Amino acid sequence: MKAPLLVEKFLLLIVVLLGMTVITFFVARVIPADPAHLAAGVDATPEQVETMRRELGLDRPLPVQFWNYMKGLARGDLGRSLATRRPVIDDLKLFFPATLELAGLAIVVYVLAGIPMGVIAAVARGRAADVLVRIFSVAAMGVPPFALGLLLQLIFSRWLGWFPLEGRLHTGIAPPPAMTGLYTVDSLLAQDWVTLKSSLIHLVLPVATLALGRLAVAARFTRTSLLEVLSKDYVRTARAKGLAKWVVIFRHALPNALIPVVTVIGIQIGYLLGGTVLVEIVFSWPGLGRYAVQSIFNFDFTSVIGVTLVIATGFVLTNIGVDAMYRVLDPRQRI
Amino acid sequence: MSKRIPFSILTVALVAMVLVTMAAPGSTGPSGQTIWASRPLVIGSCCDEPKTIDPAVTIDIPGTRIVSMAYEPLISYRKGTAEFEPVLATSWEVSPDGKVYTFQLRRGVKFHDGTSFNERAVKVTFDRVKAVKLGVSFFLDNMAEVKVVGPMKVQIVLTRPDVAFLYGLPRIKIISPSALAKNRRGDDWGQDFFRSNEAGTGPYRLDRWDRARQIEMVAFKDYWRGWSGKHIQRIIDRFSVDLSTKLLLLERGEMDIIEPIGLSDIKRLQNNPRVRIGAVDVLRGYYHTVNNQRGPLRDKRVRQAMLLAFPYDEMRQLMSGYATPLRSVVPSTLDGFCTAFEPRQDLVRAKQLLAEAGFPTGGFRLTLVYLPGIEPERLSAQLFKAALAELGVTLDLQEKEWGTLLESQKRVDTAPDFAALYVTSPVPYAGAQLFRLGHSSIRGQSYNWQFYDNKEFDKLIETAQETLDRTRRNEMLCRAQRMLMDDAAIMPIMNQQWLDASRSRVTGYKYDPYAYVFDLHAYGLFIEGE
Repeated sequence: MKAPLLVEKFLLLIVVLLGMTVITFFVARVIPADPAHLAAGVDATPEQVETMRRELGLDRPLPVQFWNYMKGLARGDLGRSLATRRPVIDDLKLFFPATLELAGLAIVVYVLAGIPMGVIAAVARGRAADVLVRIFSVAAMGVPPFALGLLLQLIFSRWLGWFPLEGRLHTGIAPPPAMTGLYTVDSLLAQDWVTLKSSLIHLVLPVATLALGRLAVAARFTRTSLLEVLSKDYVRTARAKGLAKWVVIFRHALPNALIPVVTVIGIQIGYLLGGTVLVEIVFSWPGLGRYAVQSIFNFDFTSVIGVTLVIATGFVLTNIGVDAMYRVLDPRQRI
Repeated sequence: MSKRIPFSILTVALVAMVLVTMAAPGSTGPSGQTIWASRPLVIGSCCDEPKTIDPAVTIDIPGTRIVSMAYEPLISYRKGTAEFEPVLATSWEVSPDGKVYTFQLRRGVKFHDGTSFNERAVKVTFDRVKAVKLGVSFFLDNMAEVKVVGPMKVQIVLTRPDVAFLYGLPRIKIISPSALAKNRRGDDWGQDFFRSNEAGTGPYRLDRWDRARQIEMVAFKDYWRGWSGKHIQRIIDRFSVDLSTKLLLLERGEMDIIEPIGLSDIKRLQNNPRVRIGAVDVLRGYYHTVNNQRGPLRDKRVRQAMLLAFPYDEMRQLMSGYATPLRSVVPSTLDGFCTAFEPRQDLVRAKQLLAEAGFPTGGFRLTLVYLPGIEPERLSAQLFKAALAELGVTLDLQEKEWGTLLESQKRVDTAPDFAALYVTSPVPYAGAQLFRLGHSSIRGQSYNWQFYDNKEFDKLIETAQETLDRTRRNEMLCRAQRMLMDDAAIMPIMNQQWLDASRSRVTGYKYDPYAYVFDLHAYGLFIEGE
């Protein structure tokens, strides 16, 4: 990607984040609820509620609150949670890696399995493999993730007892020393094999739940796109030149077929970062999704803004990544 | 070449080993042998992790439970009763005018930070709660000062006699003054420290808090009661686990106690021999609050008709026997309760009352709000809607989140006509519940969602609170209860039992309503065999 374009994209990121902050900040304030009263408790006297309001900084005029928030944001300070009084940035450092580990692995599974499935279906068009992939795609896309999660829990955890029901680690196991917040990586770095095994085994069902539906989307898009490319003249020419079947597919057809697939995958990755809520709830996964839901129910505006900024950043960065991928896959984009 | 070890060294080593063994958890206590449970006790908490474990501030269920294991009060409720027993105080006296409470304190008690409990700890704790002005500070509204009157002796002076003061004392947990001094920043009274750390005298100390996952408490080896007998060494409180998952974990033996559970869960668990279901009457009433100040409900006869319209028996049947009639505005478990209401449906009389109020065919519309995801609230709302339809009154049902409901209740014009509501009394004293539900000084606040405004009622509960004579006090409270029900100010629907489930191997566990939210009495728990 050319430097000016990269600069343009990062400027766009700043504008998006600024816009999200302004919108979330003011929208959160018009919700008819009083976070100070909620934090102080229903039995709190007016004096107690006012004490809490002062502590939370909600007693100041809205523009002053906004100005103070933006000043903090410029220093990388996302404020303190209205519910717990802990720094929001600390909470995000704690919860985001859990979601990243879950979503990241789901993305890897879905790309590594979805694209080959699509290729196989396209190449074997009309035959058993194609039919199987299509049946699987329709079934997997039709089941909502939370229902799939419950089903997997029932079969693989309750009936077969192969995988744990919930959480990131077994109850008796302490988390590894925090370096990245990703338990698999941290336990690997600490050479703590028991924790590594526990964290991996806990990832299986939630990752499968997240990946299956999206994997089906990737397979379908790859199949459709590859079939379209395979019918193009230049592919026919390549075949006429006597090139091997797999060379035609992987060297000439697939890179072009992947361009629309990359777009779809990019969008899916963006959604995945913010869309793990239900899976996190089903599997008691202490990630960003659960944190967001708790913050919303607590009317914890500062935490909600923090989560929004993380998800928005994820979306924009993914889009930048997708643009970069276009240039790798399509030489015309580099001209 | 061999050397003989001197006998004196052997003796010293042996004595040292015995002393070390005695000091360590899992070893012999002062009056017998300790048999530690071989595995931790795992609790499936109802909720998300505590917002804070500061004993002066926390009011949520998970926070209160951790506080109940890590800290102790001066006096507490004897398990399963509303009677007081000494904890960090050994005895106490009340002055004849009811304004001065003198406490003799227990010697030989250590805080988890290694310092000793003394009179200064009591003064610092009470001063802190009062200064922080959050959480449990309302129990000390009438406290003027704490005076140290001698070694291990303190006096608490009230501004006026207040019988509710003693009821609130078990909620005031004593902190280490040394921990406070070390961790106080400016005028924060150590709130940053006590939010995530503890420094109490309780039987269990905080070992580890894995955020959003679990809190692990471990037995405090220097606990003043000693560790003789059967005890649990480690307690793990799990948070944010979905109820259906908790049920599975309980069935598989990976969790020991889960609470609360719903009616449908009982059917699933009741045939499992390894699971015990607990059903306990609690200090909680289930009501439909009534906005007394708006529309047709301003007329007392209309409100009385509403009370007569509700099918109480049908509601209790739906609760499969896990609910009892609520025969007053306060539950019968509270000191000062008296029968003030007969919950029965009488649609004929209800129609007559509506006709007298000028609504012979009904013809008006009301709204009831309930919280999402609470099955009994939805059921009672639907039963009420069907009953009112027979009177020609349309009841619109709305689900609202707690935060928005709380906000809407602040003003007469935004509050709904009815709200489905559970109210747990913070203390087993009827006056406290009556105050919250009907005192005119808190219209639209606390739980006076009735906007009830009756100076005579106010006077009765205020005078009762200052009356030391129990018989006279209860007479006043009884009159107040009957007054509220004569005015049909609120609809007492039922007294729903608390339901929980535990593995049958956990002995000594029974939900104790008097300990206020979720004190496990962890010191008396043990895990048998399995």
